[in-house]
Amino acid sequence: MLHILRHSPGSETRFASCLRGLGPQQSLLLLEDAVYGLLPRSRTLASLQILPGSVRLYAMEADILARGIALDDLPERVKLIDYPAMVQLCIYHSKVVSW
Amino acid sequence: MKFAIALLAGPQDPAARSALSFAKAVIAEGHQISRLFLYRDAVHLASSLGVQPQDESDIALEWRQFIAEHELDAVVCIAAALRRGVLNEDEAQRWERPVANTGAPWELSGLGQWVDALQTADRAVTFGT
Amino acid sequence: MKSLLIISRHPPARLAAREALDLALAAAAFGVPTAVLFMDDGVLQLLKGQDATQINRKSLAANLQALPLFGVEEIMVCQHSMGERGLGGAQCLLDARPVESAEIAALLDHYDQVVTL
Repeated sequence: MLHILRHSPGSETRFASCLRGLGPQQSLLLLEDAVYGLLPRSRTLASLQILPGSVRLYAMEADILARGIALDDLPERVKLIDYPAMVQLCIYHSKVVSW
Repeated sequence: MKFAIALLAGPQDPAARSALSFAKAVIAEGHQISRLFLYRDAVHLASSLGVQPQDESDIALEWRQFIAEHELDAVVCIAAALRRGVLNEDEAQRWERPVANTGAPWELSGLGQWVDALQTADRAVTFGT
Repeated sequence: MKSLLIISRHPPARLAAREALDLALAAAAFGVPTAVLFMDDGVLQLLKGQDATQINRKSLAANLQALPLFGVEEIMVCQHSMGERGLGGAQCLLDARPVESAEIAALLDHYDQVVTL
């Protein structure tokens, strides 16, 4: 299952709700303002880091660059993708849940 | 593979742009979009009356061009649209409103169209939650 | 038929709450096995004693009560979201099954389609 988050962790409870619904073999894509969850030293980044290693993390590169988040600071487990790669992710996973 | 794409947020929301980028990538990757469905504030995207500053992109126009170019099935939830003042010629006449602000390539129809799209597509992706 | 889970997460005065229920009712009317999970501020829709007329709104209660009548098969409420708001099952105007956090992932897995509204 691919979970897609799009809201900033600061403005919404969905970030936490989504993490509660995330299974250990699933994937999470951060889109739009959800990429603020990757701000270095933020509490959300810490909670993303402690997700089981089997959870795959993706983030939309254009959304990160648009918001001035430095790519160098991102944890290694976050894979940056573009829209064609998002299409592939949606095909690879049998179900897509947007939060 | 057949994708159903639903959009829930209005033209001013970044989701309107994300959904379009995704839809373009679906086509570019050789897949099909079985239906686009606009619900909640996304129905404003079907209005052709918006005027954007010259140095800003017109997302409603870009959607219209994309849908027309690929002859996509593009449905606007009629109940959500009427509530928000998005009317085609038929509805403007029926409700005696002075102007219609939507039309082809958008079609006004019921929520059943989304239910049907969820049933028949291989993948359903929602933007603008 | 692919089963559908609708996660309703807006408070009752929001049009979004009504529009989530509309999708549930439409899906059930088409014979789709449909369930609704109230989560986050969505649990506030279930609070007893709401008088929406005080703010000139139509009550959501009729739409909520229509869910089981129109064939929505399961109505669930996130226990964590209830607890965060200091609420208990006795305050619910619908007979909703409480779902614990640990169950949510399995629930999302169980349904063929999940739509958050």
